[in-house]
Amino acid sequence: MENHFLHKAGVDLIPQIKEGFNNLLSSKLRSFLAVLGIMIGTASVVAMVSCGQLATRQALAQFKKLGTDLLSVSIYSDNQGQEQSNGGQAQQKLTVKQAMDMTTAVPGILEVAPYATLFNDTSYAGKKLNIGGIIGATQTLQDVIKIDITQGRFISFLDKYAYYCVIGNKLAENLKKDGLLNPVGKQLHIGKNFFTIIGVAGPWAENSFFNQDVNNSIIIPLSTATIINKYADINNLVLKLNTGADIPNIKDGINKYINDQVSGKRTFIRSAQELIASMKNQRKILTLLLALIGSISLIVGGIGVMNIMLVSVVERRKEIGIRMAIGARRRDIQSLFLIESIALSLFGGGLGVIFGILTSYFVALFSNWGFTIFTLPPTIGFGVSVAIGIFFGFYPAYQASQLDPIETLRSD
Amino acid sequence: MSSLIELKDIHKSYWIGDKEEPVLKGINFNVEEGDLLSIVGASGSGKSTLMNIIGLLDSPTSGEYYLNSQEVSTLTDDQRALTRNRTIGFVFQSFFLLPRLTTLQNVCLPHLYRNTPAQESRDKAMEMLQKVSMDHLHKNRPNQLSGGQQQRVAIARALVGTPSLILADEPTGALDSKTGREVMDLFIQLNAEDRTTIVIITHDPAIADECKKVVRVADGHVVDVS
Repeated sequence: MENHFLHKAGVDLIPQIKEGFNNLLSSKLRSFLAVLGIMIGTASVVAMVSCGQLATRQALAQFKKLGTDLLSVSIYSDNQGQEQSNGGQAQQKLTVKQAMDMTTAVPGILEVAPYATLFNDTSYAGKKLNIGGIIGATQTLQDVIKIDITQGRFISFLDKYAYYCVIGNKLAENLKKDGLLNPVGKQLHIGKNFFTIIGVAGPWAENSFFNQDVNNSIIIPLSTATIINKYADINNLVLKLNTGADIPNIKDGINKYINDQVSGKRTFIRSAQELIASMKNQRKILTLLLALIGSISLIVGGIGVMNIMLVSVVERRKEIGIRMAIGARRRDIQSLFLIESIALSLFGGGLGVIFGILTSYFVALFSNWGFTIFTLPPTIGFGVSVAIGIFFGFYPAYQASQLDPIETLRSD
Repeated sequence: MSSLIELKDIHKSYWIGDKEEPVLKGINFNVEEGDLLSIVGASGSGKSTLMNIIGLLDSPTSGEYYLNSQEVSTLTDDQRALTRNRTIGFVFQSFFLLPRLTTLQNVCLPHLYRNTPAQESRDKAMEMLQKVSMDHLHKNRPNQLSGGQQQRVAIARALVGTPSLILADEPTGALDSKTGREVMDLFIQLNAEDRTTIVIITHDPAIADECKKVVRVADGHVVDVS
């Protein structure tokens, strides 16, 4: 009889799993509620992470549409206060020509679009216009930040100091309400001057390399801008680079060029690639945060499973005693209960993955995002729910296994 | 030939607060293979504690217990579980069948903890149900059976693992006299036909009288073996 102690100790899993399912089915409502808890938790993790990823992808796609070959340059005065106190000495400004010459001075630059922003009062037919700003720009801006023209034409180099302007889409809509159906050729008042409208821009998608809203702006030739407003400095440039350009090198070149042309300036340069990298990083943090929020409900679901298993252990004390008398070892009792809680979690997790994906599908549908099933969220959702089942099932199962068979058999 | 069970100077005390309460005060007796033995005593005599010790559900405070010539009072929990599974078949006063399982599944249970293949386990269980004339109700659940029928199923469950010993705790206690009679007849028949060793714990002298051997317990001592 000694040798049977040496036998393989494990009990076959399949009959145990069958038993577990039988037990769960015998208290259907309770099992259903536990499954529901895990399902909601898993669904929220899956949906939140999926939506996070879909939103990230959407944002990146929009961003990439603008072109990943853009570079924005902002120019600041190094010590503005001091210069102003110097009074007499004129502040050095970058001229249009200096800005445009950057393409030849710094290799790797395809196009330069310098611009200035002005805030003169504007009016049409005596009525003040509520606009975002006046942009002094060159012909290159149209291509660099992709402005569509629906009527007339865009600013040209040939316009030089002409009093011409191009109006944004939203501004055109507003003027239409005021009865201006055909704006090209009509005149606007900017400051003291009349400007002839030569073109209307189509709807413009916002671009993080351009700090004005084209839709609600008036675009005038840059040279004109510098003469009608003495504060119209070329403080910003958008650059389009050659594909595969060496960005750090170009940044150095631009810095050097600007410092050679004008003294006492500081530049701040952002590239699309850097922006995409930081955007991805931010989005990753956001997605992680969403996953954490979802996990809270999953933990609540896990506590539900634990609660149900604890009740089940108390209710089945006698059964535990009988099984022990018949020869179940402590670990057999433990696995009996653990299997049940894992089964609940697996089932809830599986349903949760389906519901989570459905939810993210509908969110994507209503937000007009493209929809794809990512592998990460279901994997995380399912994995975590199983882990929760084991974690929260372990204590009740352990408790069951530590019961004293004599006492459980005596209990009613 | 050595005995199936040898109990040597078994003591068992419980601690109530910090006071030691002796329940068994030196029990000595043997059970031979093929015995039909009853342990008789009033309630509080210590017979239930004695049964728990014989059934390896409890360990003595001191003393030696040889089961199949092996000292078992020092076994680990797992070894005791295995020994209960293979060597002892329990029959309880209130049957203790699992209510969610069918008759057949209940009888299969001991084999679940032995990794017996499902088909073989079912065959053996059916065989045992035939032996106790319950095979026609193998699909029923315990609550669809009478007390006497449930106890027969419980006996089949005790027998299915071919244990060396059937340990029955007041097996007729919850039954009316007629069905109690039938259960006793079944024990006597099993003992006579298959030489199954049966130990019956009871307070009922009438039951004890039907056994070949009687161990009388009072106040933690064996007062008489006959």
